[in-house]
Amino acid sequence: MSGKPGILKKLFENIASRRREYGLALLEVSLSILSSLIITAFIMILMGYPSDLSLVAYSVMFSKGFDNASYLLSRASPLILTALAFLYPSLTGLFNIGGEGQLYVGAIASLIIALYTGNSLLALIAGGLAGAALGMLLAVLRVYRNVNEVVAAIMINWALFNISMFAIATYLADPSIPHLTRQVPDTAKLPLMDLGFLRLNTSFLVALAAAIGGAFLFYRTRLGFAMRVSGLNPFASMIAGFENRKLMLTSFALGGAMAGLGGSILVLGIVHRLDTMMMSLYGYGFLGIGASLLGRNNPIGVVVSSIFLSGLLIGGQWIETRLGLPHQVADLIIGIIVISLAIPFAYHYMKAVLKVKRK
Amino acid sequence: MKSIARTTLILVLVAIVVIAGVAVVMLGGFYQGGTQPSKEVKVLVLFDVGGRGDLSFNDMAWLGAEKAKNELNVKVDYTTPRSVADMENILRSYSESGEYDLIVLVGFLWTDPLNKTADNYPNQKYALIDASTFVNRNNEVDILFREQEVGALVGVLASGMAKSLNANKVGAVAGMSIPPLWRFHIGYLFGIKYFELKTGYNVSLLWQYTNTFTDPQVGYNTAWQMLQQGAPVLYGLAGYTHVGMMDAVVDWNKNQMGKAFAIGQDASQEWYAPEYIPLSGAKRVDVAVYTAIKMVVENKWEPGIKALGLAESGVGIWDLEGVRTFAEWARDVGKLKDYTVDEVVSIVNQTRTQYIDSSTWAVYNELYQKIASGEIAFKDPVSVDEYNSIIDALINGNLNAALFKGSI
Repeated sequence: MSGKPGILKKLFENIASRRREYGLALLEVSLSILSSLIITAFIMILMGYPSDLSLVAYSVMFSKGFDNASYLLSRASPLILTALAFLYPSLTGLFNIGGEGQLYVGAIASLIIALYTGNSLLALIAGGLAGAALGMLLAVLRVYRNVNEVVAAIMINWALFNISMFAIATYLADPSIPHLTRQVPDTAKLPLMDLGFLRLNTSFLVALAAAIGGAFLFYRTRLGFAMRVSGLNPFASMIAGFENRKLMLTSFALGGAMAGLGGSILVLGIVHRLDTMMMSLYGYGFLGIGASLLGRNNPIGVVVSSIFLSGLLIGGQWIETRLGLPHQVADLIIGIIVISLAIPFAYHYMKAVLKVKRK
Repeated sequence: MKSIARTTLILVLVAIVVIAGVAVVMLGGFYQGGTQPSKEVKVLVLFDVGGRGDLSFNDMAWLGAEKAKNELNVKVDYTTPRSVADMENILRSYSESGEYDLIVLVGFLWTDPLNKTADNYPNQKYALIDASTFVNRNNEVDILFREQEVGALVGVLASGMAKSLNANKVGAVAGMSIPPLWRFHIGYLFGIKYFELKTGYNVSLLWQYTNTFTDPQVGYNTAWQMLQQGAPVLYGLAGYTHVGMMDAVVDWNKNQMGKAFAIGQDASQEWYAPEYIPLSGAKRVDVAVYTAIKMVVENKWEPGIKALGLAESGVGIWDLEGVRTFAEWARDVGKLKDYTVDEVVSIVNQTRTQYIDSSTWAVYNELYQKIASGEIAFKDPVSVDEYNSIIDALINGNLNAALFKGSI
């Protein structure tokens, strides 16, 4: 009898502190978005645009960027996956900059499987496996040979970019339009679901499942707990008997699989074919890093942040048509949001440092 | 107490953010309402992924749209997609908005997205520039160019320049093996053979696909090999890649390896190095865009495939006025460094008179007349095999194999 109130109290305290944690995170994110809007407005004024134009630009950007849910969700789907590709390894303390390259191999692998089998499920699995294999390669180099994963990833990205272009131009090209690959057969395309108010691209469901699955894995299973512990403190995790190396390999393979899957859904659900300049894939891997940071290291947060960033990008397009402003304004806002997201972190860090000094 | 104060602060800030957000979105609705009730024709130009600033293809589309804006009194908006993955969705969302009377799509990359979209919006008019879906729709016009015609004229002039340099080879640095390039190849080779037929001076062609439109280094290397093989006149047909070709020609001259010339394409590119680029073939994307907009403004919509050639001034050789316009343009964006606009024009004029003799101009004028009047018209190959067989026949001296109508 005496122990029970204590447990309940602890539980309530736990929930209360959690809620404050989430509230704070939400506040930080909203503040950095707001401040980046203000900073961008200043930059636009400095660039010589009239001062009220930025308000109009934002209004166009937000109203047009978020009014077409079908487009918004399909635009966000690959971004969710490339953001997860950065997020999952980062939970074990690794930086997966290689999302871009993993996206390429995933896209090519699933294109090949789709062309030869016409089965979308097989193609998705192939894309995920190809990405995972590449992620694994980087992790093995890191864990067993101590090669920095960031440097290795950057170099491998370029190699893969060129190998992919070669594969497209020589083996997969459509003979009548040699700069494009053959198209994914209809049976392998991810279908559009018509819900009346929304034409939901199935690729969004794939991305959502990947995020929810990841959240479950990391926050509700023993393996996920071990991964997070090894990320927070490798030494403690070693003492606790977790195998850090295995955990790193697993998380990196998982990240690679996410990026590979991102490439798959781009090919199967959105573009349906690739071109010799990889123009349909270029940049998703890098943008994913920003989306992951904005999502505050949380798989569900990443879904929200990817949708938000996609909305900004879509809205940026309308800024250009409506107001004749360069769409780089939207890119500017995104860049400044990502930078200003680091400010609360810097604040906490400074506070901690000062506390230590005072003691 | 402290935590209550903090909670209040958080709530207040969240409230401010939410209110600001709602206000901004409502302002957006208001702003939209303010611009809606206008009766003028509205046109949207969707550029290629490269976008403006290439001083060539996309900028010329812009030029045509600006001309329409000033002369036909239409409202023109522009945008550039960030990636190929966006194209279909962008096209869909602008079509759905129904705001524009005409959507102009610049470049072959729009073919696929247009094919997937056009049938769903039968009331939205589309104009596809420099590419075709080869599907007949009532709401779509595809504007192509007869590249063979400009290729043939350049072929004659290139042969003439090779003759004055005592060379018996000319070259071309081409991009990817795609139908517009096939048409250039046929025309260029036809022009060379036509020159041989009229003057008896034999010139052979080095034709090389680089498989890229974006890599100047590849263009440089390819051009350098051609120069070493003895082809002093090179025709650039590879977009940004052939900027490298022009650099190679400049270096070849500066290193005293001999006299060599480059020929530009699409926009007038003489300003880039006027001493070594005396000519550019014109592919008037601006005329195509203007033509499409004009059809809508004047209510003379003719769907289907339209091909612009010499007769419609869709292709040709840039005259000195064109050279001047582009040199001024380059000056305005700070790319014209070593020369003034007047110098560019006078140097080009001088090189043209010095290295292209009057007998070459006579052949040129004769061919020009035959093409412009429609006396001869070129075949348009639809498959790689047909293209290859035309090229083989041309190499063997059978000029009529390239012709759809008329004979030499």
